[in-house]
Amino acid sequence: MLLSKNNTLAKKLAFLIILCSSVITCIAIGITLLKQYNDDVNNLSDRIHSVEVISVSALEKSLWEFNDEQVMVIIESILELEDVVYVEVSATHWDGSQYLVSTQENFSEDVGLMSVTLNLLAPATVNAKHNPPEKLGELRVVASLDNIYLRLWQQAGFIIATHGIKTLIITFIILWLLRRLFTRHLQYIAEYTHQLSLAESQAALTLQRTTAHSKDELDEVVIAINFMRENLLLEKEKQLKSMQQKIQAEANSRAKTDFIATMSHEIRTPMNGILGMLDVIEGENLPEQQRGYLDIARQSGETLLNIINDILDFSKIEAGKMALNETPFQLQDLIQQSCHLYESKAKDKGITIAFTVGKQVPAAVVGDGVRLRQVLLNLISNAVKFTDQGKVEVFVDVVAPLDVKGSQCTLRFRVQDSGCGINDRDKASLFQAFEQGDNGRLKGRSGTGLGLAICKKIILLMQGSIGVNSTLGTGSEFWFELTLAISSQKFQPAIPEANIIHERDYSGLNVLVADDNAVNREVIAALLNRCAISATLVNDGQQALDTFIAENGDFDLILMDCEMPGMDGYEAAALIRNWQKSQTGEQKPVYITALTAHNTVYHRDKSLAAGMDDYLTKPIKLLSLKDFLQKITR
Amino acid sequence: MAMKAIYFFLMLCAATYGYAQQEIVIAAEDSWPPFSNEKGEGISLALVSAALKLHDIQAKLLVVPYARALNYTETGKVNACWNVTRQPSTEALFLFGEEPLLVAQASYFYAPGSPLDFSSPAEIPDKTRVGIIIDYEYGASFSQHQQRYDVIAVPNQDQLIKLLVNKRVDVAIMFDDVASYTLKTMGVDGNVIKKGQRNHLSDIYVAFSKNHADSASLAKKLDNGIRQLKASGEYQKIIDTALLKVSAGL
Repeated sequence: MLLSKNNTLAKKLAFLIILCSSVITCIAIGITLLKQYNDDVNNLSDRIHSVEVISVSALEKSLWEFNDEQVMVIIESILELEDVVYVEVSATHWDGSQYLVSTQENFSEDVGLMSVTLNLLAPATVNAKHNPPEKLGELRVVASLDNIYLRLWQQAGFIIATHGIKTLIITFIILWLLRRLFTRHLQYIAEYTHQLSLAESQAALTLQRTTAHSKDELDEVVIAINFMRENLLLEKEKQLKSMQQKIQAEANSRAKTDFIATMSHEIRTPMNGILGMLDVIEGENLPEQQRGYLDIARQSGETLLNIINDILDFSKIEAGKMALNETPFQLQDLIQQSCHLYESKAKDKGITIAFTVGKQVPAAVVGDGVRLRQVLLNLISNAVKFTDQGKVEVFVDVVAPLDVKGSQCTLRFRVQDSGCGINDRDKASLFQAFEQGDNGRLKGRSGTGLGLAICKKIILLMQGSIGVNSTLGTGSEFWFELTLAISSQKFQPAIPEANIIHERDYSGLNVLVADDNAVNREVIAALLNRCAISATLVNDGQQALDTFIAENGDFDLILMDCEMPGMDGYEAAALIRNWQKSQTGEQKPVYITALTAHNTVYHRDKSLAAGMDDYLTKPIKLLSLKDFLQKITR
Repeated sequence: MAMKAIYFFLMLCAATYGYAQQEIVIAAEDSWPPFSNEKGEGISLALVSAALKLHDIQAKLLVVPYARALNYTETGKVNACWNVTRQPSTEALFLFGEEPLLVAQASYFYAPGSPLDFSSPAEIPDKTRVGIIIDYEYGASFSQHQQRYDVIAVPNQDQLIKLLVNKRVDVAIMFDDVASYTLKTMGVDGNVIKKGQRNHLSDIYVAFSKNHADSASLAKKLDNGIRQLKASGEYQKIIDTALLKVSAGL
């Protein structure tokens, strides 16, 4: 319990106590044994020297009297002294010969020995008067230190045993006290603190201390933890509120996004009917007056569609839902096509439109070409709109040299016009939403005022910058700068405009159209009819799948609406692809294209992921449909 | 019948008693050869045994140092001890017979070349280093003067000779026969020491314990035995034989 597995503090303390005690014990043993050794050696030395007092006189007398027996008796008596292991007397015999009397050697030179040699003189009482002191011989007494060593070992063992037992007892007492007074409370505090992070409704920390006591450090810790607990609870409350607000904001955002998506879908769907049918009617032989009415209706529809698109784009940007889709594209083609779209309008106004791409501008870059095209079209559209004579020119140049690796460059796009220009007051608010400049400039021009704001938002989203240089009465120059990665991808050369043949025979194409909206089915059927295609029409994904399987996959093209009741377009496309894979025989390749009112990257990616090959958005125009058919039959 | 048996038993006991040999214990000194060597054997044993045998008494020996022999006799642990000089100091402690066991001459001995030559203890100067045997009696005159000397008393005869040879004593008093015998036992020439004049003639007795009731009777029997040996001429033969025997044992 005292040294349980997790009780590391107790273990450390026990280890330190035992370590310190052991060190102190070792030092104490060392000092004690050293003193003991010195005392014993001194004592032994004293005992050996006591021989001088006790026996030397008798020995000297016996030697002097040549009493060999007595000499032997004395030697034996010296040998009886504790620790004495050997005694020898060397002297001169009465006849002048050397003689040595000794005890039997019963010691080893390997062990510690103490040897004392004493001179043996003739007894003073005998020599005092008649002779000078005469050296009779020497007495050598050898004592063994074995007993001293043994006593030292015994002493050391005793000290170690007593100190060891004492240390263990003290250690256990200290550990018990530590456990009783400290660590059990620490463990309780730790458990409490751990639970505190998990349970909000936990009561304040109170230690289980039975006896009354004055305030100590543990109480300080308890106060601090309870203070921390209160702060934690307040913080959690704040976090909870913040989380709820965030959830609410996200729900609002989702609702807004859903609303935008729904609105986009719901507006585009009838717009598809309006514009599609206008396209269909335009091909009919109509009187000049009716054709004029039809143009007005078509332009109004397109204007309405642009307004709706601007509003939806702005809403998407404001909601942070506009995501960039970066893919390689050919820059010159994009600029050329953008200018081409407004060539007829410019021609109608008696102005020219041209573009110039700098020599250093890379052929292909990586970026969101769709959004870049949107910005360019907006600027060109504005330029054409506000220019009544002269020209509109588009320039693209490299403004910053290629970086060291040559992997990206900064391009400057400029759209210059020879229009009425913009005064300084209007320039400041030109890129703000719902700002359209002065009424005089807009006289006779329509617009939501969102176009430039959207352009600015898109350019900022692309980490670029946008601005305008203009002098009232001399024209304007709208510009933006973007840093784009250079693409090494090779593209097919663009087909010269003169070589594009829009009118081809598509009567051989077997087309399946799946759309739940009857109007849309009629529109696409009519548009396809204008291309000499008689399509098979179905109401939903299930019918599309069934029809496809019933016809054994004998279709060249499927135009698949995405949002349909029952089986939607994504599932139907995926099942058609699965059915194709399951067929053992050779299958006719079928081109599945989404045709949806959703105009988002999300829906396009979802369509491609479901196995579709392309993505067309409603409302679809006859010209776009023909371009598409030409692309897939090329 | 019963009276006849008792009479027969008493007669048997009386006959047995009449033929029983008496045994006494004598403490024999161990260091005065040839009179009494380390085994107690020597001239003294031969004479005492022969004299007591005449009275059908057998001597059993207890060999001890001379001083211990005196002590044992004085305290009555033994019946008697031999080779004791009769003088007032010993007469106070022991019973003596009339016939000395033997007469021994003690002389002065010197280191070779010593100029000293004393004829009596009175001539010995003060502080002269005189070597003697512990507890031996050297005559009344020596006892009178020995306080003036540096008396060096040793337990053994050979020590006196060694002390003389090494000039650690100036003079030693030794019985002639003992000195001669000791020199032989030491294997040295007699010239290593110089013999001087006679110190005294010592009558050597067997001293009987006063603590034994039959001591006086034994003393008379010993006297009687010695007289018979001397009268028969056996006395000198016994001394010679014993001397040869002891010498042969060297």
